[in-house]
Amino acid sequence: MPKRLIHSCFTFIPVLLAVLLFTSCQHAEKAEFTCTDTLGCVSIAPGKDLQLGVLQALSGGVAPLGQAQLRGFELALEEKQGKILGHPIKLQIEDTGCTAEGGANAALKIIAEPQTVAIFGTTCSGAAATASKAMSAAGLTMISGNNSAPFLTSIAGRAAPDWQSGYFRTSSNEERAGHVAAEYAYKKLGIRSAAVINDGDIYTRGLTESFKMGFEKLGGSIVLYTAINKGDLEMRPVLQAVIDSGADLLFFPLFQPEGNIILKQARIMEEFDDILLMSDGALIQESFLSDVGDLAQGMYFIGPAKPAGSAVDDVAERYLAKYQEAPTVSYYLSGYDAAGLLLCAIEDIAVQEDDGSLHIGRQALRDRLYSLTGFAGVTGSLSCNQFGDCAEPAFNVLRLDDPNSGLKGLERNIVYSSNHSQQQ
Amino acid sequence: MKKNIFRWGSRSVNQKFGLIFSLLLALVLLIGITSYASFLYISKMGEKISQSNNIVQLVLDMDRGMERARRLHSDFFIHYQRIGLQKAHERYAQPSVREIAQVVTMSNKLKRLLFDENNTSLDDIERAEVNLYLASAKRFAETSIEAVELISRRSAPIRGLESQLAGASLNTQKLLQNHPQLLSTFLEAKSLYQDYLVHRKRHQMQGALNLLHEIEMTVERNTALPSESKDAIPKNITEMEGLISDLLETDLAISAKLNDFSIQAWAIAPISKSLARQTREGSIKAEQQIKKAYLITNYIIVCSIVLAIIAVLYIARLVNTNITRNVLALTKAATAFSDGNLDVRVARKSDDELGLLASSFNDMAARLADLIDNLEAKVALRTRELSLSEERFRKLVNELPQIAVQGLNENLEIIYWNQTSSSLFGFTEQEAMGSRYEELLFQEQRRTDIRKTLRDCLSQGVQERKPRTGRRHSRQY
Repeated sequence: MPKRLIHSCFTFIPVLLAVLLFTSCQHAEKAEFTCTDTLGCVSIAPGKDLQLGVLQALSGGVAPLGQAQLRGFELALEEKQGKILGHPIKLQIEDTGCTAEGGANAALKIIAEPQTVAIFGTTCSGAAATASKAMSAAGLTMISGNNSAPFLTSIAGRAAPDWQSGYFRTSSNEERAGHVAAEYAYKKLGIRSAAVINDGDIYTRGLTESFKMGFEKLGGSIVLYTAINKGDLEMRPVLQAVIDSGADLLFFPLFQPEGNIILKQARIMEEFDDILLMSDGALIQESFLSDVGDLAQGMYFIGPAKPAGSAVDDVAERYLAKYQEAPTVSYYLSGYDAAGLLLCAIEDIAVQEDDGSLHIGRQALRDRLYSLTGFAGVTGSLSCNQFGDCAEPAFNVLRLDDPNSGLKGLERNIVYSSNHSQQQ
Repeated sequence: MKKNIFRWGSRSVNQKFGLIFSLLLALVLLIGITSYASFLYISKMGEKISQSNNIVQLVLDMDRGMERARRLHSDFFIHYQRIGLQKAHERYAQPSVREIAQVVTMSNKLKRLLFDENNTSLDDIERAEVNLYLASAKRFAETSIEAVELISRRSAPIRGLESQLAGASLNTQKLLQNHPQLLSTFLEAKSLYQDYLVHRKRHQMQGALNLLHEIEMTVERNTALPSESKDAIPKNITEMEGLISDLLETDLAISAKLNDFSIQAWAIAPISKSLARQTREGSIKAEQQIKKAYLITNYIIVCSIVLAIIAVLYIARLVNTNITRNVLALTKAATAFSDGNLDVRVARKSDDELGLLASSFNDMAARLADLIDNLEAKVALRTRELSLSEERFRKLVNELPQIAVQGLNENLEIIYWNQTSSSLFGFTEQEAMGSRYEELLFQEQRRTDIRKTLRDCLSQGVQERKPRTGRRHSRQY
């Protein structure tokens, strides 16, 4: 028996070793993915989630804008059945609070997760400035459907101060928006002196800067260039300053609720009967209109041209069906396009193995977006330039003639557009 | 079952002993391997506990450092206006920066411990939380330095915005001394400015700006003012407006930094707690695993010992049943056989060498018994044959006509007396039988020699004697 036992052992052990060797050789023979991407790769195991970060303003007066972005993203995701190349998409949603510091801290939370492939956001340009800096340093890609501050991408064809590699947007660079507003004010309304108020945020500053530049270029005079703080409730002193400045028009591209407060308090002051009020796209919202009611009558807005067409109607129908309410802002469409662009780019560059695992190169994703041209979005054809601007900017000046017509009535009442501006 | 599995009965003694010792060796190996595996496992768990404790300690140290830095930083914000920027900088801002530097160093150490040293205790911890926690120290350092810079920009002696504004305000007030209405407006603006410094409400500062603008407009419209004042007052007011604008921007930035600190604290506090908790849980888990490993090892060792005892008893029984008993049975049978019990046999209980030996013994005993039985019969036959031969010999000797033949026993008494002896010596057989030979046939003086000669003959057997005469050899018995 021992002899047999020993014999058996001597037979069994080599067989076992041979099996082990064979299996290890089998593993060795399997070609493993080697990441050569300069910014590294995200590898996703079969069946595991593909993780995306979402940075939006989901609290405060700007929440409807952030909510619209998120919904636009969800609608785009729905088209993909919530998956990319068989991997369910998991969202890490963080609230920026529409502040620079909120953006930085929220971005930090998302960047801390090493499996995050890209970021969808932000709502506010101020948050984007800090978030994109952190995101870019971490090698990620970020795309927004709402940021429009020129500081984030380019000004006068050059990289803007807050431009970061890997940052993209499908919303319009509003560098031209201020100019278009100034043109309309100067040329169509005959305004020669204007006051501007921002809130220190790069978005509102960007608009007041470009308005000032455009207005002064045309020969107008900016008699007051001032600011308020976010969260301010008492606006009468600044409005008094506007009155004292002798401005014929007040351009105040602010968010809610500061924009609402300015309007409400201005309407109380008799002197404002003769001063025209003009704001921006941040107030082209149902919530603003319903809050201020008739007080907004006769007020002007400069905002991106609202896309139209069957594709837009289709998405709007899906929005209504999914959320059981009509969109309160039209920016969900650029959010929808941003999401579509991002998901498409990920699909394009992802390397899928036989077992279903995915490898996504971080630089490859950026490169794909930078090289993307003619993407058929619902807001139009999208082509990203070297600074990350993917949308062709087009702006309209709107006037609210009938408060009861709501957002749709306002959006229909285009009194001036950037097309006119270019023709002239 | 035993037969089925091991074919125990058919195994040789050598194989049986081999199997038994293999079994014992396997048990010893089982105990040895179990002990060694337990040792390795416990060592690994011990290492994990040590790592976890190090992480917990670092996390707690980082937390304490961050807390101290935050407190010092808050103290700086609270006290700089009361004790002066320079003192506040030395007392609070600089120690805060030193604390943060230590925290950053600790965070780097923690990072190495968690990511670079193949740390097993990280398995149960959310990597994202760790990353965020590690990044938080650096971010806090950056933010706090920026905040201190902003405060310095705002409140530094002489070059700070507040100091510059105070200087410009004083100059403007001096210029307006001779213009009561303008001075009153200016003091109202100054009051609003003071309110702003307390409440930090922008509209208060805007109110002050509006009043300054009003003074500016009044001076511009007033043609009665001396040209020096008309130039100097607007210049000072413009300077003040610029400084106020910078101050508002700086305060906005400081406010953003404070908000940033709050967000950071809000984001990090639960993570540091969670990290410490997770690491502690990992440590506790490892301790529990060690206890479990100890328990399992004890169970295995106790079971192995019990198994070994059972195995030894079983083996002893096997050895007793299959070897010792067979050997004893064989010994007993051999003893009985040697004592003459030729019928004794040994039962064959196995197919091993002892079984074979039992068979051989039985065969041998059978053959020997058979041999012994035949020998007795042959002896009886031979005795009978010898008796007949002796009878024939006696008859032949008795009837010998010329030769007298006598037979003697060891006492030299006559036990045989043939007819010729009767004729020759004159004694009948009845007379001669039982008589002493020398006494019957020899005279007194020769009897001693004859007796001696006869005894020598009997004791030494047949002796060859040299013939006294030339007669041929003769034998005497």
